[in-house]
Amino acid sequence: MDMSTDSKNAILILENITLSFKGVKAITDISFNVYEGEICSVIGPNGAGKSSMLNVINGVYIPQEGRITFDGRQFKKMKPHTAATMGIARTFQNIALFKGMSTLDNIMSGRNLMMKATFWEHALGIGRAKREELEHREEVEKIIEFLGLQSLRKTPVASLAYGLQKRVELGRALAAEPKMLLLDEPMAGMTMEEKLDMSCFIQEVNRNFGTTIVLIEHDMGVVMDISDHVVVMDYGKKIGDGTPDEVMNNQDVIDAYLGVSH
Amino acid sequence: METFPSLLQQHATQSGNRTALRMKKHGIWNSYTWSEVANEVQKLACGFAATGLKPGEKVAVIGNNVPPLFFSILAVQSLGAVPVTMHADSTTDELKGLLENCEARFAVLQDQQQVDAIYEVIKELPLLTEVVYFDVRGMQEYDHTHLKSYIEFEDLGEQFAKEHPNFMSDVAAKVTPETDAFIVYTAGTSGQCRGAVLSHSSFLTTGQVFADQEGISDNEEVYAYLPLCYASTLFFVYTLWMVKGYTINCPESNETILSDMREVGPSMFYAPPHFYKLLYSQINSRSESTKSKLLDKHMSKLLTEGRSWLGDKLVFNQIKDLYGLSHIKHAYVGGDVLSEEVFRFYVALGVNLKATYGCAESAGCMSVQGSSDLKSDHSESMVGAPLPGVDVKIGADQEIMFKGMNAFKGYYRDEAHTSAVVSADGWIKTGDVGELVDGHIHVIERADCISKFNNGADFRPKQIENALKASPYIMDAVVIGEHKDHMAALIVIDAATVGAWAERRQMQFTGLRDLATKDEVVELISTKIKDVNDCMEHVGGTNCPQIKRHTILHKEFNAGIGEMTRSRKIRRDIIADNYKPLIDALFADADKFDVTDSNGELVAQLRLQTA
Repeated sequence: MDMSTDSKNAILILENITLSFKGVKAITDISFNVYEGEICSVIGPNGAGKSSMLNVINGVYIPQEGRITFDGRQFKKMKPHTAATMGIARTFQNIALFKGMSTLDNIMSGRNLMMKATFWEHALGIGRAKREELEHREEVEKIIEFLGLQSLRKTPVASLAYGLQKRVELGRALAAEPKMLLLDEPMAGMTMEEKLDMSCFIQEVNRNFGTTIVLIEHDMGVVMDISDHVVVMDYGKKIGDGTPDEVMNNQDVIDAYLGVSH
Repeated sequence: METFPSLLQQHATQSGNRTALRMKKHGIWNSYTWSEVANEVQKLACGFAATGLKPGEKVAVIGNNVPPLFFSILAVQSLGAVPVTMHADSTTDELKGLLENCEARFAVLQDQQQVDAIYEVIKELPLLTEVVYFDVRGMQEYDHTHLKSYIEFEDLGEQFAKEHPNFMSDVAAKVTPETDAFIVYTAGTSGQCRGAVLSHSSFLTTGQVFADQEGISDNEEVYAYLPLCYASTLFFVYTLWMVKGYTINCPESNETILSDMREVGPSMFYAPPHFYKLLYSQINSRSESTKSKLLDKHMSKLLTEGRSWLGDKLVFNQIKDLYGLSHIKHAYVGGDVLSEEVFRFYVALGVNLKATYGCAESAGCMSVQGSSDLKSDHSESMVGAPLPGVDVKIGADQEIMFKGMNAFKGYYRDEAHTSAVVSADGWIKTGDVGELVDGHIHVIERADCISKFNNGADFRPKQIENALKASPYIMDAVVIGEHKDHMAALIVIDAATVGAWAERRQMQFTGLRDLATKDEVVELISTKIKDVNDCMEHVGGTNCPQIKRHTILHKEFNAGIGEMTRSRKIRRDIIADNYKPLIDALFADADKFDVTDSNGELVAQLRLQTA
């Protein structure tokens, strides 16, 4: 893969983002680009502002300063709904599935934005509702096959193991056919085997569907293996930005992770 | 006389619109009619011909049961070439050995897993020139010099068929009943795998006779979850499919085998003892966990008093429905002996379960239980009278021998072993010890398993192991007693049923390893061992050696390292070897045994019990 970032299209440009909560600065003047078709990881110690960064990207938090450009459109504030309709899907650090619903229904809910039928059409099963249901089910079935969830279609997600719930959440995000996928600690709390599975899925999504992926992760080993591009944050500031190799050899990053004597 | 390709043509012309094959994909059962199957087979066969496959050459077919796999086998046979079916989970070393031995020119694979396994060794297999795969997932980045997708292959075939319009009818006419139809590698509980060469007629004549005797119709719905790499599945699924033209149903994935079986509701089913045992354990564990008095009452009466009208309506019909057994007309078990208790359970439940007997050398089948066998003392190991056309006799050392229409031609490229197994006048040794009771075969044990205790009594481990395995909590058991005064048993617990049992008692545990050392579980298993010991004493008197020592293993036996065959038959020698220190500790009356990994770190501390 060509690693020279200049030749690539930036799908997401963050410029001078600053976010504070009542004076407490969570993010200070951060700028970086995410390029089309890459796996970009945002890493950093606890409290570095990684999740806040993700929330800024999909419009949950509105930064006090800075500009976001996604897919050629510039925003002062991104709204969650705009983010979703423009093709940004995400998963959450603490799984946010509909616990009582089946795997199938949870993934189907990811296609909600694409359904055109009205509430009454759905309720009565008339008009577009039935045809749409069939079309969307077909797409959802492809995702179920892709993630190997065939045996769990009708199982309520609350009864699934943690690693599987994470996988269903990824499925729901994929169901929206996103241009960009934001993954908030997709591998936290997983066993080694589950982590390997998940990193394979992430790479396959990236490769097969060309989806740009931004992920936050603690496990450095996994990050360095699968990422094309790594952004390092510490105390709300960006301290590193580049290929995994560049970042690993960056003195600031080493200091932040291993500590430095003052 | 028919061949596999001639039967396919017959079904396609006579019942072209009937469903031949179903597979669940993307949550929906997709069907192929007989004429669609014939069409696919033609395209594929032309694809093989276009890439240079000649009659008599060997094609390895490796994968789970998916429609393209059935098409590939038929296509290869249509050209007079020989399919060699292998297990989808075979390791690289296993595959290399088999591919070398059968001199495969082509390999047809299901997906990336098998491609990876073969790619490591493809340079060492100069004869293997083409590899075809079905599932394109993850395959884009491979070097495609020797590799073609199924779609590409079919396109080649269509092109070829246009250029050679009469090719299929010309080539199919050259296939005779005596042409080689399959090379089947024997499972081999001892020693290396050998390829039994079988003709079209040995499978098809036996299939015809069997179908007539058993009244198999063309309306059967057959559930094909077992891979086609065994002679038994080639017989019970594939051969009877071609003979009768019924419908085969393939599960969506290995994880959905049980739920898909319920959706299919098969009328005919073949499985090894392991599967019946698994269902039995699940049913029992479920009936215990529901705490329903009604269920309890009827279940406990089932084996002693049989079913009642009320019991059927309230309990048993529901159980059968839940596990897809409602429509079963013919259920067969083979490959090994199912423990008596489990066998009786199914019969009592109203499932028409019959034991069959056969081996790779006998095209998968030589006899099936009749009603008189079910009434005899050893109903589970009385496997019926030989099929018409098969002769059976008891040779030296009580070994069962047969000859007849189902006999194989010999082992591929192994004259020496062929002449060791086949006598000059055509009798073939099975390697099983048994007897003939009124002309019915009674299988006692594998010949190489039988040995003696120190006191000279016969040691027949399999019967004891089967008695242990009748417990829903015991998945596998190996009993050691050769040249000893008493026996020791290695027990593998069933993680699912013991796990459910422990949950009901609100025990905390992490996994199989943890369960295996819990006081309650140790107690549970000891009770079962005691039952079996009491039973042996009851039958064999007080002199009968008992299971004096036992332990619960921290893991299951692993087919990947040869501890059992892919069909889950125990490989006694390898287990005796792998667990030698543990077995020695058992006989030395130790009470603990530390299992360490290759780095010397403690994996588990096993508890060695004395009965």
